[in-house]
Amino acid sequence: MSTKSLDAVSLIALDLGTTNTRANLFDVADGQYRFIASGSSPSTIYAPFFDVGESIYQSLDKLQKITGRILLDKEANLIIPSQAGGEGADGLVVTYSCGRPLNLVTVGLLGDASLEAINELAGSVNGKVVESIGINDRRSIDERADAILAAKPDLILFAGGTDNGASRSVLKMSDLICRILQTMPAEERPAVFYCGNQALAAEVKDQVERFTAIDIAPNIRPEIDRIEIEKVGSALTPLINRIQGNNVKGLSRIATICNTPPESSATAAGKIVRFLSATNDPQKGVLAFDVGAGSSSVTAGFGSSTSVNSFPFGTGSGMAEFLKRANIEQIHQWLPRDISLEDLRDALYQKTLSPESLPATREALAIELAATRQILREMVREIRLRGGLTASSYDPIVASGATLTRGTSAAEILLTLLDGIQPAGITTLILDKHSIISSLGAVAVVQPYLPIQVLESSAFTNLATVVSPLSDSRAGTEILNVRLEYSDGRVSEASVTKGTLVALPLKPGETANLYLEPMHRTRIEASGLVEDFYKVNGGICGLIIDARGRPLNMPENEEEREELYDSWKVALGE
Amino acid sequence: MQAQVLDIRPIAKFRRSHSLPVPGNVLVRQGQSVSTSDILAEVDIPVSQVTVDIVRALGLSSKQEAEELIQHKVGERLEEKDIIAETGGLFSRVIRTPAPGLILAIQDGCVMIETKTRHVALEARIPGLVVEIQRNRKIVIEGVGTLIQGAWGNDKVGYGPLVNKASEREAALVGDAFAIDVRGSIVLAGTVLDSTILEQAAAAGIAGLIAGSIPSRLIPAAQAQPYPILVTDGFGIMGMNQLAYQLLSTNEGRDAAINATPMNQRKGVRPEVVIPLPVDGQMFDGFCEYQAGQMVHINAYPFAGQTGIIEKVSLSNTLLPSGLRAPAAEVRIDQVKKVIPLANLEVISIETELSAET
Repeated sequence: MSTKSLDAVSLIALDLGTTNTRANLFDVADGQYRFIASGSSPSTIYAPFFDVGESIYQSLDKLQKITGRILLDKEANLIIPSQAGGEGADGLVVTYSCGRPLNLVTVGLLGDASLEAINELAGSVNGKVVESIGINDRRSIDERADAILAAKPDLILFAGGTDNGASRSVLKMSDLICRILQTMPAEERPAVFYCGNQALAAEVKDQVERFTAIDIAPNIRPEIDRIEIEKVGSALTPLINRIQGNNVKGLSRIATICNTPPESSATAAGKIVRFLSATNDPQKGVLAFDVGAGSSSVTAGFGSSTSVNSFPFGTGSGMAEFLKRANIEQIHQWLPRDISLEDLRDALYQKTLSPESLPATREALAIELAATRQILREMVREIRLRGGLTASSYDPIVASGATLTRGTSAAEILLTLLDGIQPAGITTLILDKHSIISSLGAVAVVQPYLPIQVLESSAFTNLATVVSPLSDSRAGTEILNVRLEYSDGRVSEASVTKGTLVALPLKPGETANLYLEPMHRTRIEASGLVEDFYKVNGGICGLIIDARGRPLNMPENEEEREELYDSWKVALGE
Repeated sequence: MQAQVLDIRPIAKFRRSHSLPVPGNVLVRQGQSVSTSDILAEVDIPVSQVTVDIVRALGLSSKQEAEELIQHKVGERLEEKDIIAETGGLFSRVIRTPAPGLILAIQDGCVMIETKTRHVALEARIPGLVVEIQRNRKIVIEGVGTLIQGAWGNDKVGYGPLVNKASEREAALVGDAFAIDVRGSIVLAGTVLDSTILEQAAAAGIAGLIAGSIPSRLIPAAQAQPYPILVTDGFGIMGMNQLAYQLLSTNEGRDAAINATPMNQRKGVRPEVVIPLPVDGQMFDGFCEYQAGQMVHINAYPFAGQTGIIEKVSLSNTLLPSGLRAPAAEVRIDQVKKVIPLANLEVISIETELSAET
């Protein structure tokens, strides 16, 4: 299927998640592209259907009922293109995060060259790198072969050599891959994706395809100082679709009527982050977090580089994976004392048995949001380890995911994001309340103006502009004077002490000039410089000064901790 | 809206399929009766291999020359110190296998020998009849009897007479329950509070344990036990749901099979207890929608393990006590009405079966 650009006016974007399937409708209203509505249905990827087709139908049917627009014909097929009477839509794109996390083996030459690049590419795939092999690996060939056999990979990502560069080492690694493939039963052999020295592509293909399917892509590192993650990532998409097509029944079927091949939700969201980072303040990066049920992702954009990072954990079916790495005591620090550590542990493990369940009570919601904070922290920690946070500060930070968008109060969401992400400097926190960021990324391929116009609309919610000063002063010390001058001449002032959260009113759509007077060597931006004033935008929670410090450490004493936490909630109007 | 279903039925007919990761040796035939621990099929999958480079070892000039000297073919088994290749002549040099194993491949003058395999044996896990065998890989078993699905299992199977050690559905198992009568038995408990109880059960030689709940801190200890442990309702101290307790306790003395397979949504499998019965039951396809009057099981904190009756279903978003909005049902639990999201409810199949009959 080739990607076709459209003069389309109406587009449907399906987002296939582990827990929910969403059908998002975009169309022109008042001469601008707008997000019209979304129909959502529980995913039918698991028993008794084992096919996403049913939930796609249900979500489209809901969308029909919400909009009053006929989208399905009598045989329950999606009407494409739209008809003279307005039935149907002109285009369809699909993103998905419901596939099984894949076991990945990366093979490259040098740790700081091709192996580094291929590991970065692997980070964008929903899965785990279970084995990584380079030319300087000190293990014997047999030990390396055994490691790959034990890893039971779904996919081998293989890079090496600049174009017309290293050849002997690349062929040596290709030979190793072939040896390993031969020792595996044919049904268990992983696919191979080659993105190394292009001069050897044909030879590598000849060697490998005797044993398994191989896809050849452009060189991920064609020159020593040039990395082509985005281009190679696009070439990887069809192969991932083929593998996930076997895991996600119905995906291949819906792909035949799409205007562009389905792609992972994280990769699609990456396109929007790339666009935002190219158009925003060049000194700052852009971050997008998606806390999903089965998997989660963070995309970081800074200048021309974008790093997509997928993680095989989340708040639903991904909870079991998260608990393998989570420290339950750390999750407990975000909870009131009447929820014991034992109850918390039981509730989280119970969630692994019923991943689709929702918080029915305030206590259950508090537990889910506490786990979300730690998931966000874990993602930030991991992306730092991968070297994915290259900017000193990020603005905006976009957050999506069902946990954050299914009706929790804005203040609770904001506090969860601040506790989890702990942003630095001055940033705007934006909530993707309809979970459409990945749909916009997928739509951009066929209708580039659509995402730009929808991003400018009210489809996204500005939660707050947040100032996070850094100070070594003790808690309780005055560290910052704040003056906010509104466009109508009103003024708000506050004196901020270390350890507090302060909210100043600034409604969505309002702008104001923010004057900051740091004290006791308090820093606002990493540079240490403070501008005369900052033009800031309003949000549902207003302008927030988060003077709690970085990293944010909670008191060990439970009583103190709860009092402090309550004071933060009160500050945000909870 | 498609309901989640928990299959609990006094008389049920059901099919379960098991697959090898790759085709292997099938040890049963269609129509054969099998018990829980019978092996249906098996296969060896390589996990370790050794490569012998004949060119380098014999100092040869070409791969072709090496391959001419290799005395074995792919698929042949090498025993300890078997000769792989020999130059011949008066001062013949030989290369012997560094380890016994199967020759997996001969390529570029190298011989790859499988030295260690992972033996995969497919257990029947439930008693029943083999009704289908596909491509030496997939085997389908049909069982009939009382069926009780659970929530968690430690991935072991067992079979034996049921012994009830729970005076009520929340009762915790105590150490002095393990008298001589429990050896080889499947023990029924409301909950287990201490890992030492699990150790004592192992020492007493029980054939399996069915508990309503266990605290999640006991998961590692439960996984380490040599006998199967099936938890019907989940983690905590809430005990067993009323229906499962009633069915199990009234079947005390009958033989029961525990398939304590971990729950796997992708494969659609759950741990389950089967009490084989010499009667015919009905198949249930798992499809049903939420309706008023259904008996439901709650699967999430803080009401996990409780059962109730749906009084009203609201498919549109309803305000929950948590402040969230979601499709929900009004459920009567012990005469108290609670608003529970549909996502937290499993319809108990016994009800769908009864309503189908009426």
